[in-house]
Amino acid sequence: MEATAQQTDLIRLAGLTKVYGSGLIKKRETVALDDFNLSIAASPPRITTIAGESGSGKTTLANLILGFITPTAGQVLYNGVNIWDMDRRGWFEFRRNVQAIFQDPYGTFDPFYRVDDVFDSLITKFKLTSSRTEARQITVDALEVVGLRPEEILGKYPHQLSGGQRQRIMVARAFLLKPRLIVADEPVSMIDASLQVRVLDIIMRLKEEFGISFLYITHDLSTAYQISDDIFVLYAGSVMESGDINSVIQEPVHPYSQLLVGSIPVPDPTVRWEAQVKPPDAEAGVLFTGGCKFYDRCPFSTAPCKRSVPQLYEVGPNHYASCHLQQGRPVAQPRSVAGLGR
Amino acid sequence: MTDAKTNILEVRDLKVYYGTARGPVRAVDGVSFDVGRDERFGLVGESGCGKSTTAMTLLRLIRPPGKIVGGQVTLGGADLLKLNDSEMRAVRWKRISLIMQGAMNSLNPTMRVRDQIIDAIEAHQTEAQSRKALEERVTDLLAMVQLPHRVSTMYPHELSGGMKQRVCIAMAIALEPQLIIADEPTSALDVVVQRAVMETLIALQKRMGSSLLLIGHDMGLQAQVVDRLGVMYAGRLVEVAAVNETYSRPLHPYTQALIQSLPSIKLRSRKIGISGLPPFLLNPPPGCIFHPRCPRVMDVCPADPPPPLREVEPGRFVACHLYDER
Repeated sequence: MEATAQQTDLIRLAGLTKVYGSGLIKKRETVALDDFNLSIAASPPRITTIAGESGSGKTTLANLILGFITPTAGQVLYNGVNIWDMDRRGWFEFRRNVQAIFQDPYGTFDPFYRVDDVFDSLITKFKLTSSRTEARQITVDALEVVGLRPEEILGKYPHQLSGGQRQRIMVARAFLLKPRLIVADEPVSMIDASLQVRVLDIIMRLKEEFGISFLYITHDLSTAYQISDDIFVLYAGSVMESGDINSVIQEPVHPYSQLLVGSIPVPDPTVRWEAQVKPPDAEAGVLFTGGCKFYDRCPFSTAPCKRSVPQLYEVGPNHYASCHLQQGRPVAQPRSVAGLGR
Repeated sequence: MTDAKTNILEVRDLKVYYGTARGPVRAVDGVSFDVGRDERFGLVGESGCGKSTTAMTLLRLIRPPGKIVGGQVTLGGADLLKLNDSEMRAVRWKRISLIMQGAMNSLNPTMRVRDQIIDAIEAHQTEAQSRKALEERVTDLLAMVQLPHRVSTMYPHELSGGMKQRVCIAMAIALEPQLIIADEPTSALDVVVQRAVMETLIALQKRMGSSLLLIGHDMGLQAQVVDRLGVMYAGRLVEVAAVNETYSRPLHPYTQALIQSLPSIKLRSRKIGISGLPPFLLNPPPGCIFHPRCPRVMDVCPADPPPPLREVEPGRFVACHLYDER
């Protein structure tokens, strides 16, 4: 990989595509992620939301960035180097600097081990220290950063802790390595509302005080709006709309984002669901026509929508939408892989 | 409790405990509320607050080690807790039906949708109907939940989550019950589908003149759906009021903190949340069960017995010493 202008990017995803095949005789292909492009600069730290509903490809994206699965096409570049071309050292460094927090605070712990093991095994694996007292101190510091009292946590078994405590332990674990980026896949969706905000607050503090960037993967636009700087709205593996969180949530231009924002149950009984966008009839699967993936659900679809994939148009400062309705606006990014997802 | 307008359901001082080796867990501890005719009533609370146990108790579906320890559940004049098992069976589905959390996963994967709905009708209806009449009923029901007719001969695996949940709603309304209990009916669905499914359920509830008891943790969904809301905390109802009042002027400090900590897409602000953790119900704190987390705690809160749910303004009930008469 030769040095390019993007070298300052901490993470760059270029044309990232994942196709899953299924069926032995009659091969059926599912495009989980279709030509996804994203850059996260080394500084300043940013929280970038990847929003989408089930099947939108957001977890596939997380798995690709973390190197859990290989892309069908495109690249994940860390400091300009494709993670699949890395040598041992580079990979080790990548694994240390890009950490993850997952959805289920109940399933990520081994019930037979005390929670201390979560930290001890990490300290051993990344050879942070060989001194037991130092290891203890690192652990205590990490727990305190996420607002947990170490004496209440260490020595306990996972079943003795609440979901909110467990998820904060996972944040502490990710923080312990002082990574550059944390990929957080639905980190608060299984925690009660009163504890949810505390985890979100910790995420913001890690960004502000320790310069850690986040990729916040969620279906919940309300929490995304509270913490993030940028957002990508995914539908069936493709970006429908992206850009500054305020613009996208307050003035969504893509019909899908409008439907999504309009469907959020707002905790205010005086602002009830408006029926401005028709609820979809076809919930089952996406009809691939070779055009816009939202074609069959879109209330504004026209003939070109069925035939051709819309380009990503610039609709405002740091605000982009992939929709034929925006034709005539400047093209932000021509499609690099055309025709996938037919 | 409320005015004497016709209540379809009256719950009084309901107590349901789970027996454990270390003593009883008071999952529901003295809960009282009413659901009016045509009304949509919500029960909201965090995990473990007893809202689902309350729902299951209304249908008498509590299994050991759970035990209904006391209280009354009156549906149209009869105390459900005093009925024998066969009388209770006649109430279930015909007068009260239930849409469970993840009900879509309770469909039988080997039966066509049509046969499952017919099964549910036949199991709960006393007089036999011809197969033709039943099939016509299925056609009507599917149309009511806005599913195409072809769904009737499909198997559950051929349907999406939202479509399966619509089938469950079709089964729940098949016998036109007076009360539909929906326990987290859409928590497994995406927001767009959730909205479509809830709007269908509300339309049917209005059309049949039934009442709806919506159980859930999502304060946003409750705000969109219900007329009145009961807020539960650690096995007790702490506040009951018209939903507009609950959100615009919550009275109980727990409700206040809960509403303040809700993320919204209208306003970006740093939230505080509620300090501390929900209580351990085997060994609850003395006095008001919320006092260790309460920002407005007073001397009386841990000392006196838990405050009862009292009407402090017309139609507004709250269980908090802040509103004691001085």
